[in-house]
Amino acid sequence: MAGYNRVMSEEDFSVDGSEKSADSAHNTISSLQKGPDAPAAAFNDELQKMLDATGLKIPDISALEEVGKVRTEFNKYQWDHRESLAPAAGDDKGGIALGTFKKPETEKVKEVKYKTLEEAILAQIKNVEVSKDGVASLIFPQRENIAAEVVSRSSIAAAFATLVNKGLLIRNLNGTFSRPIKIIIGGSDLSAQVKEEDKPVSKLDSIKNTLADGAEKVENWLNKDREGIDPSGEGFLGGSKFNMPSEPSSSLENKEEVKQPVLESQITRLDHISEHDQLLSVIRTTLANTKSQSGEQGITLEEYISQVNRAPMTKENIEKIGHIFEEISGMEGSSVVHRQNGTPALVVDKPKAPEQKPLGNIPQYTEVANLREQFLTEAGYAEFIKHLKQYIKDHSVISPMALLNDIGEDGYGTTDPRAFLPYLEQLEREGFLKRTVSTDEYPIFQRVWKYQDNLDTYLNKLENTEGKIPLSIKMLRHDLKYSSIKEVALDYVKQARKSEYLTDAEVEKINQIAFGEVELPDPKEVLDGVSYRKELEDKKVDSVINQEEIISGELPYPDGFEPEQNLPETTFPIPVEDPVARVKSLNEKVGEAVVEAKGVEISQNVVERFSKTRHESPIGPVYEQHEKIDEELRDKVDGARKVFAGLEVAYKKEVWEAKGKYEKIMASLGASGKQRQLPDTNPEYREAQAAYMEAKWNLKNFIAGKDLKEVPFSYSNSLIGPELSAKRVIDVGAMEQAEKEYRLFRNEVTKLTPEKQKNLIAKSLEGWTKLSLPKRYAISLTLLTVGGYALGSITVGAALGMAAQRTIRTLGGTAVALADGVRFDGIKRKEIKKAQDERRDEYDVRAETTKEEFIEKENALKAAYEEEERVMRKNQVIKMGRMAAIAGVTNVGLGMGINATSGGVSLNPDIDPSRSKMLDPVLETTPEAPAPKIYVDPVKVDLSSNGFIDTVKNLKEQLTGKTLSPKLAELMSQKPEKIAMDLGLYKPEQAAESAFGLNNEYLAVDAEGEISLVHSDGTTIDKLFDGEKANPYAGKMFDADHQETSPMPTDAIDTPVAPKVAEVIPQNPKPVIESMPKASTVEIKSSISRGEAVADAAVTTPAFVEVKARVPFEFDQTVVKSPEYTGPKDMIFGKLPLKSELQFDPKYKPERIAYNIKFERELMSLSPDAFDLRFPIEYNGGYINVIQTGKELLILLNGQKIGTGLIIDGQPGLQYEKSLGSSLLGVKSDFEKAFEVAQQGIMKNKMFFKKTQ
Amino acid sequence: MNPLSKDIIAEWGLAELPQEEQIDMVDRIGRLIYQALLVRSLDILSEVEQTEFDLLLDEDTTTPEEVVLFLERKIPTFKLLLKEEVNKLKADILI
Repeated sequence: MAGYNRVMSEEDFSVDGSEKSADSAHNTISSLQKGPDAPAAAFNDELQKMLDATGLKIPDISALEEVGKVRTEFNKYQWDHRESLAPAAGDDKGGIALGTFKKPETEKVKEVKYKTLEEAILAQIKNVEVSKDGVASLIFPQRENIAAEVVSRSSIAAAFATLVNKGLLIRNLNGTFSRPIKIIIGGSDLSAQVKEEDKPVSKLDSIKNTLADGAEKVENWLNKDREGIDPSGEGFLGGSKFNMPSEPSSSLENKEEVKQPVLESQITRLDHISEHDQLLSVIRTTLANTKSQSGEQGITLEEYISQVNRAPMTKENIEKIGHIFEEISGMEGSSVVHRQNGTPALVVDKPKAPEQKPLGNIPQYTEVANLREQFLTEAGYAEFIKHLKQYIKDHSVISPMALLNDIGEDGYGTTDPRAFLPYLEQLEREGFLKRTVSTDEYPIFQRVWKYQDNLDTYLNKLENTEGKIPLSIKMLRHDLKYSSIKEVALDYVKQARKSEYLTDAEVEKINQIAFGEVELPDPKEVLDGVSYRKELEDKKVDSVINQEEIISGELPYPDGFEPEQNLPETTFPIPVEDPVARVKSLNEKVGEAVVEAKGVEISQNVVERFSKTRHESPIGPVYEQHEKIDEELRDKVDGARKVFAGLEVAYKKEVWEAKGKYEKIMASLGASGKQRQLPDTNPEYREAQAAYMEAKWNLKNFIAGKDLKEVPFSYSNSLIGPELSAKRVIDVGAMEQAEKEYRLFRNEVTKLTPEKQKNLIAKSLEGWTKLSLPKRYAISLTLLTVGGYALGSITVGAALGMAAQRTIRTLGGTAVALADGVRFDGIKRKEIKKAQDERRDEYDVRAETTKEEFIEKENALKAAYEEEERVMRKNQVIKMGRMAAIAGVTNVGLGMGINATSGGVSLNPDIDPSRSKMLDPVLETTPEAPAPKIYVDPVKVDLSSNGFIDTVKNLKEQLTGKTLSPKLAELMSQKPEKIAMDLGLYKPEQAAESAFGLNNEYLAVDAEGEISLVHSDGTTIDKLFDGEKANPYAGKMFDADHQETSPMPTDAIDTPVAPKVAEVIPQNPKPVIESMPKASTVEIKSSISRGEAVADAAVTTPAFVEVKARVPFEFDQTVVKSPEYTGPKDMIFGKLPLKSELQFDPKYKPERIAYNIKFERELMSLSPDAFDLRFPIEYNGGYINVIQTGKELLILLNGQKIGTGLIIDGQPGLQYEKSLGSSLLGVKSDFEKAFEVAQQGIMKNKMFFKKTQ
Repeated sequence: MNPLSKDIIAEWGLAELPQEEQIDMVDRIGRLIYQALLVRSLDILSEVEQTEFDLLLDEDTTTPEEVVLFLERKIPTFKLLLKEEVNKLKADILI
């Protein structure tokens, strides 16, 4: 059989996966045949043979037997030769020389199929410590797999790293790996004990007393609880179950005589819970705590067996335990003494307390280490956190990171310092600790805050007395650390900390600092440099804070702050203090205090705002204090912003330069590409970024009146930024501040941004301003959901994705007109569609809402999209105007079922024109759309026989529930009598108070919200209201009370009816608003702000009058179905054109508009693959659409084919549709004119057409 | 019907706002994220891509959504950027 260690030496991989030479300090015993070490080498060979012969069953008693012999010989050899042997052999941790990894188990790696490497490693390691070579041995069986590239060395190394990061594996200081020890002392029973205790501190003592060490527990069990051994193989040790070997060791021959193979059981069990070193450690401790019955020094073998194991003094037992004694006696801290009677006895020193190694001003943390060892394994996470918290408070721990390192060398040797980080982070989440920006220190947050707070106050005082303090100085208060990184770094160096526990970056930084290559800002030096310190001393204005404390890095408890002496009972998970309750409490307390102290009435708001800061002392004018704090925080943000913006620009320049070089190189190679990997940000950048974020965070909290508590930033995590916990609320003030801050920061950066990028940013932002609210809103949601970050918001994202897809479809054929004729080949519609489809599919899969909810939302969004998209599209082409007509026409009541505004827009979009006020300067420079105009459902009301007031009343009723323009709504909100007066129809101040009307005349409200009195001839009107203001009737009036005196119209057809006004005025007219259904109110409100386009200028030709007067045709009456017509979609291809007689006459404009509404709806329902739509061209109230299908073009005027075309090399050849008739005597027909317009639109606008095969 | 999902409302702490303000906030949030994304993304785009981007923006019909799609296609880490900006904004506006 090949030697185990030799086998392992065949492959030597470092943990990081790289190959390197074997580490002779560990398992491998090198064969040294030459030189002065030759004797030792010979011994090594002999030793190796013996080890090979043992089968390396370390915990097996027979193996220990051999080990004992080996060690005995080894010690003798060492003693005789007074020289060191090979390190491995000479290591008194014996287990190393033996190898700590069983070969049979290593083979399982390839024999057993594990799901992951991690799983395989854990299965192999179990509770055994694995040395570096043990790692190599893990890798060794994977040789074939590595060769086959099934796994890689780096993946194995990564698996180890993952296990360490997950806390499933501990990387020890000596480079070995082991599983966290959790079984030596049982957990459940201890946890139960802890739970029974009332006070944490007493619990600690109790626990410590109860569990002096694991060995005692083992001993107790051995002495008292052996009956608990389960014959089936499961036993109990301290309450924890663990597997027992199914068969006792074969070396125990006399099983009957030894009823309980105590020692072996002990060893065997320990085999399950520890490795050899730990096993020996337990026995050593047991011995150390076992007093001799005779009272003499040391303990004999027999006494041990008798006292500890109560085992029969069989020869075998004496021999076996004797071996262990021998082994132990050769170890440091143990010795054999001879009693007076000559009997040899073993003296074992009690385990030494870890050597105290002061680390700067960091106290000893042995106790913490003990706590951790105990509580992590015994009382559990919550208890540990609680006691760690208490410990940190009691001991003024200021740098837990250094503490962890200290623990790492405290003799336990199984703790990776970083194993503590999760608990410190937990304490940070609780707001107890604060991780400083530039280091991984975790001072107590309250103290840091108080410290900085006092320093703030101090500096402000100084500023008041000495004038303005430079910002750089003021910023220092933010940068001041509890203990400087330099100190920590020097400590590391002094203590010869092993760099392997630090990242390369950390080591580099520490080295730089330690060797003076980098000097961090030192507040002392800076203060000295500006002579402030001296002035401070002279003027003695530093009563607020001890100056020495400022500069020493020591952080004393500030005035007024005392650590809590007693921790409250804590449950797990540890509840985080409710900030709302805290603020409320502060409000009440401070509010009362302020009122009492000042004896004056203070605005509750001010009190609240003030009290919501941490300045609880009601000293000085509250408002001034508040303002001062506000100013300070803003100063801090200003400073941090400038610093970070400067570094941001520097970083950007670095990026741009690197990118430029890369692209040049690529270009020189005849390739294209870009540098995907951005340069890393430097620590200074990250620190500045974190400082900026923190400054904003503090200001935000102040604005929001929130007690400053947690600052979730550190440079190490700034890449992604903080993950804020749930249950937060948005703050409107903070939002405003954020908007302002974003703008300011961008301005800072933009100053130094290359012109090209600046333009791109401006263009992009401009696009945003052109969007309607629903569109912006939808995109916002998409942004919020595209990464799946909005928890569960995928539902909306799905709807948006689908709606957005439709939107894109409507744009599917949008022409790309490039001024230079170069085709833009960037975004292709199909690619967009594909991306949208993919997104939609993704959302569909992940949608979590009910179908009904989904459909409901989707429909709403779809409707909003369609409507707004239509608006946008038309705006771009026809200079705004179509939607007006859409609304007007649909409201005329065509009965086509086409209501552009009725798409279930439950979004309540209410586009507020004032929204533009929120836009930043960049955005505000973008031209905004003209103020929206509202279109009204036309209404016609015959004159009432009861007079105009009654007519107006009827008109109001007709308008109830309809969308009204603001002015019209305002007018109609009055009483009918007042309306009639405003319109000049009723003039009570004069004798002829009533307007004269005939019974076939009527009042009409048109789409523009104009009110007209239409006379009986149908062609003359009196416009009483122009949409904005009243134009009082100036026609004939008569005295309704004396009809006989009233003039009679000469052109009257029927007898005028002019009843007495007094008779028709309601005595108690109801306000209009009350008489309207509730829905009406909503609609009026909505209509006021709805962003729709402006209509064409109204004309007042007789034809227009007729338009307003007549009822438009039904849709079916306006179209011609061609024989090929199969369905509405055929409208797109000219199979359902508007009738020729309706194409040009102004009075049929409503019909044309209605037709195009229908046309567009069908357009949007089609797949973008079916055709390519070009910009519609407005023509005479209708539309010319150009549609490409393959090479062919179709030019439609309101659905009527007026021309065709053929694409050749991307250029269209156009041809008029001659069947429509040509010009006669040089006079072009209307269709020809329309075709020319289409032709010009196509050619002059360089309408782009797809190249086709 | 509130078009905002409960999850969006919860995630962005909008529950206490009236519906109209919720929508307003979403709009403002979207704009800030959109702006931030643009600024970040331009660092990553190559010269050619920036030109391409420029041409895209020259189109009158280009919408922000297309812009986002463009960037998403060009920048592999776009979602990471987005997440980062979302988180940053949350830190700025949530309490």
